[in-house]
Amino acid sequence: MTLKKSLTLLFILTIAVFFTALSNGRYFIPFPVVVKILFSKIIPLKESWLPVQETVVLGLRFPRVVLAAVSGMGLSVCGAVYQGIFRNPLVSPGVIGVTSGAGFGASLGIILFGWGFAAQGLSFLFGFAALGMTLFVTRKTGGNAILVFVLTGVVVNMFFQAGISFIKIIADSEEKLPGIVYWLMGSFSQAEKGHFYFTIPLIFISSLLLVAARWRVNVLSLGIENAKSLGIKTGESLFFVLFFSTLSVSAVVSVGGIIGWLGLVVPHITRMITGPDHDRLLPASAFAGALLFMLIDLAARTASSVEIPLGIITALFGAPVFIYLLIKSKGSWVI
Amino acid sequence: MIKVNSLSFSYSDREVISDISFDLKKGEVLSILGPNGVGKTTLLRILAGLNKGFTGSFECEKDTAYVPQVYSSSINYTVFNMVLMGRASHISLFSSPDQEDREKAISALRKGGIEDLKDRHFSEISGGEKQLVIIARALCSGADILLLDEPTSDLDLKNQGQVLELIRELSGKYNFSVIFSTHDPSHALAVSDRVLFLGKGGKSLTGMTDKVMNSKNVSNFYSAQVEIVKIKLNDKFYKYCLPIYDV
Repeated sequence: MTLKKSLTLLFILTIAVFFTALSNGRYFIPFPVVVKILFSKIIPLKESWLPVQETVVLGLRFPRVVLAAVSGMGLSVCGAVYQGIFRNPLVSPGVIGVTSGAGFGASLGIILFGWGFAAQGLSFLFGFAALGMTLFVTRKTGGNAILVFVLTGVVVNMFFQAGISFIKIIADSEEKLPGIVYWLMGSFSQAEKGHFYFTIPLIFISSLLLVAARWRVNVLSLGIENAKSLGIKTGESLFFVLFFSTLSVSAVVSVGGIIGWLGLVVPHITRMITGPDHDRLLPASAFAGALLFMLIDLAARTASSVEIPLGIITALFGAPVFIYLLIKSKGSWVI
Repeated sequence: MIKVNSLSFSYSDREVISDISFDLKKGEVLSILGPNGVGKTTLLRILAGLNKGFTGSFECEKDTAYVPQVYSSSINYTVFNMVLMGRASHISLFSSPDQEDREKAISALRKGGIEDLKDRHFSEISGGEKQLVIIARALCSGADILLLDEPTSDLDLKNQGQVLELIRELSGKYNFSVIFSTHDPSHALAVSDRVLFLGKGGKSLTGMTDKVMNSKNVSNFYSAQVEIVKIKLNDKFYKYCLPIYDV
């Protein structure tokens, strides 16, 4: 299948899942009604639906489904980019410590100021602090920069995980602890219209910029020394990639908590269709991530009487898929 | 094409390259010879603009392309995509290769004699073919001066021959200037117009191959006894450097 056909198919599937996710939930709203409610905001339509249906579709589900879609897109694109530039199939957005840093920042914000803008701001601040720490140590060491960067990221990750554990211990066990614990496991239950003004565009634009730089990711994936010998400014290119991926991941964490596996597994699944060329892999991962995450969020809010945290579903889905991929690759690190 | 004047380079307290000067004309091949750790790779990297902090100067009239010593790719691109990446310096951050870039990649594959490998994956081809692909990638960059770091190391005899033939063809047929480092003086005898010896303690010697490639110089720089011999085969003379092992 050509890239155009694959992307068209993925796009159609993404749209289909988008409407399915808007239609389904505890309160089922028929598909045609969802379409009418959405289009009534663009073209004048006679109101033939209940006000509660409009509230559920536009007020509750629309922000949540869009947030899930762009978050899936953001995490998957970052995962694919990281696996490429770090030349390691085990890398995911969490590996350089940004996820934990942002998670720590948001948790700190929640216990100090409650949910809101401050928690989100701290999430960005500590996401970038984690990146800064990792870059600082890498610059100090020299040698194999990529290896040192990944190893430092693992250490920074552990450091902020310890910080998160500390916050859990000091958090008010009646009021704030359950919220923090639940949110850290991943949830879009906090999604609201306000996210359309900042978080959603931020993740979307960051992902688009990374997708736009997809051929440069190919060159960076040859290794820093090789990329340099091909005449590109590797420092600037890496800074660009790391800046926008950190922005995207911190934004996802600030609204959805720490969601593992997706950024690791989606690029691998997509690579099976597109091959390793990032020119094809990144756009396809963006669609596949959006599609899969809308489905996972749909499962989270419909599979049982209580909402299941996203992190649990992504792990239940991701672990077997990853084991299958490992067996299929026969332990080869070639991706 | 290339003019190097009194070039020196040190790693902290150890001087590896000391006061080297040489010229290389268009279409000429220069081989860099010498034992391990004398700065062959460092010199190539300086000429490629990858190592700073040297003293002296060098001028390159045209663009250079550096081909690193050991190449492995964790990501299994096709041969065509690998060669296409030679265009990297001509393509901006948000762009992808256009038709012209693709045509240049095809032309580089043709010059490298590996057009038939175009759709194969990099992990599936032999070590020699990989080396040819990486050289083709350098050709694709549009550079006129190729800097090859030990292009024949780790290759079997047949593949070594393939790479040497390509070096000769690139200089003879397409007028590329080539500088390559090697551990095998016979390779220098086979394809180079000029030779640069690098030795321990920063000593060096440069000149035309037929002038400086003698048993005495090679033995001296490698601290090992060698003999340069001439063999006549099918009415053609071949020169080889044979190590003499006293065992």
